[in-house]
Amino acid sequence: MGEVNNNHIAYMVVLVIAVVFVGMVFSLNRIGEIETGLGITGMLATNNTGTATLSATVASSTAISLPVSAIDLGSLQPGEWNSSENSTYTHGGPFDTDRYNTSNITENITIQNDGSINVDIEIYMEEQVTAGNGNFSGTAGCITTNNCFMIRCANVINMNSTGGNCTTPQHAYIALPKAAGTEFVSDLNFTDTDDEAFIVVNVTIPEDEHAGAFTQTLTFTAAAVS
Amino acid sequence: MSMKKIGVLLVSLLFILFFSIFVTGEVGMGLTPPITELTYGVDSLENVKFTVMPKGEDWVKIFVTGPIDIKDFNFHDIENLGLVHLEGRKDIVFDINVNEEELIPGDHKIKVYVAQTDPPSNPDGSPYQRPSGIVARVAVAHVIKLFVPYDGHFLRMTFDQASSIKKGGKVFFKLTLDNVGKGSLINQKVNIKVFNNDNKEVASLVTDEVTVESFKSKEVFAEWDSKENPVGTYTAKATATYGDEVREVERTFLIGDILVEIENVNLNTSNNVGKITLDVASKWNEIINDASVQIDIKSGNNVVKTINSETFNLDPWEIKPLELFFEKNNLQIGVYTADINVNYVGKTTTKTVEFYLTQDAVIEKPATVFSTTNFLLAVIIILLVFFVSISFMYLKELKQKK
Repeated sequence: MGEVNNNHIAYMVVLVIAVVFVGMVFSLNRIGEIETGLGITGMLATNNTGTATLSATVASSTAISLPVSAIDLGSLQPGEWNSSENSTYTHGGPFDTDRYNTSNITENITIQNDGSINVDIEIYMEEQVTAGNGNFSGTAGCITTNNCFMIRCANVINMNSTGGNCTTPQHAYIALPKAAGTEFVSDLNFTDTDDEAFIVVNVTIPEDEHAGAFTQTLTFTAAAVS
Repeated sequence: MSMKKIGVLLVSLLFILFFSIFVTGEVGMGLTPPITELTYGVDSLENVKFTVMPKGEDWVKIFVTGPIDIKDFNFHDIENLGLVHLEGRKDIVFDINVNEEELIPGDHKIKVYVAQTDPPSNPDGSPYQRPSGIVARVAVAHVIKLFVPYDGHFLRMTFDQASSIKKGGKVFFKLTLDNVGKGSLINQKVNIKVFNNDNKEVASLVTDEVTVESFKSKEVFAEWDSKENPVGTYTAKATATYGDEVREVERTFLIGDILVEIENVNLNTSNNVGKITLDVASKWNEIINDASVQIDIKSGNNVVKTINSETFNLDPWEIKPLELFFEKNNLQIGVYTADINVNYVGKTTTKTVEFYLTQDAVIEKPATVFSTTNFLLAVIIILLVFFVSISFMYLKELKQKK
């Protein structure tokens, strides 16, 4: 290897500087291309804040459900009766419409206002030939007096204040209506603490009711208070 | 009766009916909007819509009650109103095809019911068999409030405002006149009479005359200077007369003052502690904030005990019952006075009661006729009677001497 003098070193230094300079220019050009093509800057160029306004109107609704829809009146023989109230209720007077209590309710059907407007509650059973007959097939006993199936509004949460009311005279037993239109609960509130009404029934089996299965449909209707 | 029939009857009687109400599937449903308000001749009776919101899949039937028969309804895209399949939310759209002659003028309420019903078949395709017993179901009703206009002019009047004021201020009355008839109401005015608490008329006013076109509304106004009328409840009765018809509406308002009165003061003991109950009654039309009660118990002119209530707010014309307690054991038995002060917005109302503090009780001192004033009056009257009698006897004696 020959001797390296100062001139050689100077050429090499100049060459290195040239290579570095060319490389720097090349790299900077490539970065410019990437920025132009992808628009990636790595930093927020401006500090503008975008805003969006969301508006919506929630429509009111009428809605009900039956959180408690089962009443077990036990085993009844033809001619027997039972109600969903306690024994303080005695069956014996005509229709027993004025014999009721608001306590000692053993079982009830609970109606809940799930909507966002106060509602009136109607109850009916379409299959009946006559209101109160309860769609039984028998012809004797309660069928003749149309009081086989009696029903009433027992209570409303916070009744007479914020909850609404049992509709008079349906706070006492009446023959179960055959068609929609008879109000049992008025102005049932929809707020969670005030939105339940309680319905109780009194059922007598006709004395000559045929053995076998029977079906009945009890319909609970909600209509907005207007 | 044959033995066979008797046997059947006995079997029937012995048959035990198991009686219960039970549920099949979801028992719940909703609809929106709950109410549609329509005016015949103004609003379209076509494409009226509401949306049913079942809880999951459901089968329903649709029927109508009210003054319009269901045959006058044309439900869109529903073939059988007795059996409608809901797989989720469903819009119910319908037209009401009714002639104006079929309806009497006025307000009508029609309900369109959507009621759960039996499905035509089970999910597996087998015929649906309703379970024995009682099935509980729900229905929801869409309420249509239909107003049929009157042939001539027809006025509906609402009393929008009768402002409660401070004593001596002016009351502002505002009423709205709605002409829901087909003819115009020309030069309509409203008479307003103001009655006080004793139902005595204290003012009579008349609004400006306005003309209200068919299906239009106009507001009318009046103002009353209450002047010296005292604090209390007043009633404004407005009467509008047109043709042979009269419309009357009324509204109560209050003339108040920033005043709190002390009422129903009672003294007794509670668990051997002195107890003072009282009502503080606001006579003002607005909320009074940060009121408080201070009771100074005095023996002679010396304050021996001070009781302070917590601060409280009084709603307009609210009567708030309060209970304040004091330790009576460190007071000597005797007669005391209690100055009850209610402090509110820089004012103070004071009431003074006297009471006996005994060993066992705190008793309000009854009002007595033997007060100092009454005693002096009695002495003066007795002296007058004495001097008159002496004078009369002296004059009589003089007369006898003559």
